[in-house]
Amino acid sequence: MNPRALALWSLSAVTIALATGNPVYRVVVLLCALNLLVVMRRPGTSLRGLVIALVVAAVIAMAVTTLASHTGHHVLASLPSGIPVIGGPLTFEAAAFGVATGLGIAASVLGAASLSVVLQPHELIDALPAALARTGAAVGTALNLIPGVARSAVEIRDAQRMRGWRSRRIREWPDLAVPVVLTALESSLTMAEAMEARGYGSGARTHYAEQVWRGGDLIVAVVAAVAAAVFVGLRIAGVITDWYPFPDLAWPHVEVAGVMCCVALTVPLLVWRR
Amino acid sequence: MIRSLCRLALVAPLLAMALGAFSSVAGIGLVVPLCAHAASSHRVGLVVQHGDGQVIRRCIGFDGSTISAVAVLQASGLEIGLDTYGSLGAAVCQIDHEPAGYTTCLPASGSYWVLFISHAGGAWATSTTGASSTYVGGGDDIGFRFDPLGGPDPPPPTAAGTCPAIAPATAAPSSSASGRTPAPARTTSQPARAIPSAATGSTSGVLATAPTPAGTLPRARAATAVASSAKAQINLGLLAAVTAIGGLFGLLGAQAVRRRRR
Repeated sequence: MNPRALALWSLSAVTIALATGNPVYRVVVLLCALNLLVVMRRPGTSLRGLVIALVVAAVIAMAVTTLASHTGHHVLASLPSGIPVIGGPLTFEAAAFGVATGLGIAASVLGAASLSVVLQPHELIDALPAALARTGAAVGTALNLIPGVARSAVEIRDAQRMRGWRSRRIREWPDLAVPVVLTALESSLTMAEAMEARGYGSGARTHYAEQVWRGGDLIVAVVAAVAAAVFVGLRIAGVITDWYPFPDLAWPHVEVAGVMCCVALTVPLLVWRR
Repeated sequence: MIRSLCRLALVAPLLAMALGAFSSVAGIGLVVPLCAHAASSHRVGLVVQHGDGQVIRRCIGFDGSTISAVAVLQASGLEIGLDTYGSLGAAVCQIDHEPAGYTTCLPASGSYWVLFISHAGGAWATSTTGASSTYVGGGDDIGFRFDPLGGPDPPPPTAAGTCPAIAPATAAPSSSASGRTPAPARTTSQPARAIPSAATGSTSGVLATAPTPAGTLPRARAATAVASSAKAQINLGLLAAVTAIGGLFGLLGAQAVRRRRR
């Protein structure tokens, strides 16, 4: 698969998910993205952490909307009005809007997650246009150091504990933070020397393997781009409408054409094989 | 077996797509010929209830398959004030000079115009979208009620009889129920002032301002057919969505089963 085709698919999925507040379309996009991640993810990659994080984010979004929005006619419970921001009636309509918001977050994140779950980081950097190659390499390298810093922090904490260190007070945290920062700096210098030894920045960018566009990649890119364009066009034309549960909850209006655009995002499952 | 399940789960969304394409084509096929036979093939009832309880009724004729609530208001001849809210569309701030003046379209306190919709003679329901994003088809009704922000939103009076069952071959007397804004009466065949509406390529105008004696309307069956067609399209949209969601869930399940067997 071509990383640029996948990036275009990801952009289309996020565009469709954010173009409307209709939860039905968002559910279809979310399921398309989830299927793609399950089928196309890199071997040995687990989706568990991502799914848990998304569920937590969606629940927080729903809770915040329910607590902060007091619009709607069907009252579930009431908090004392003296409490700032959250005081007042908690309505069923606000909870429903929170669910739609959470679905939007989940669909967008899953759409974008394909870039990190399906592709190798070097594939993504290699797919950047020449003008962004250096910036992409710098950002990618910096992001790649984050897991390493986290690992070294855990190792240093364990080592300090073996020496009898306990993190009871904030005043004792430098015992952990200073070695972590020094280790991170040392890792960065090592990385820089390694890149320089491999000729980074000495000339025009070269490729270990050229990324080629195959027929399947073209199909995915074209179908995803057309689906997103049609969806946005229908949204601007008013054929596809937003959904608001206020003041009374009602079923969202669903257009067949909108569903078709969302379902078109399943095309990578038909043409790509992992 | 698992491969077959996977293929079946993939085929389900494709079937939904094919179904959607068929329904879209079917909808166009039903609507276009009917519109081609008359200047205004479809009618929408408009009921406006002022804060003091006075009611204005209009029957709006239009071409095209749907028309927006704003276009219906514009075609009614009533004085209206609109304000745009970005991507949310237009909000109705003022109808028939009520409120007499305003600085904010949707005030934090006070009253505002609540939009109601009734599909094919059904009960009133508050619209989930703004007036410029709310579309109705032939046989539907639109209601506006000037209502306080707090408390429930009781619907306006029923729209039954707003659109007469007889073709207004002669111009109906121009009289408003409230008498605030005289509206011009028009016939279907000779609209006095055709106002472009939000519906694509359509024109609209007031067909009647008061109920007329029951009779036979040559286009009544056509309007009913169009209303049924719009209803069927909505159902097919939901059907397609449910089919797609079911198919995608099935695909996920098939992947889980295959992974477990490995």
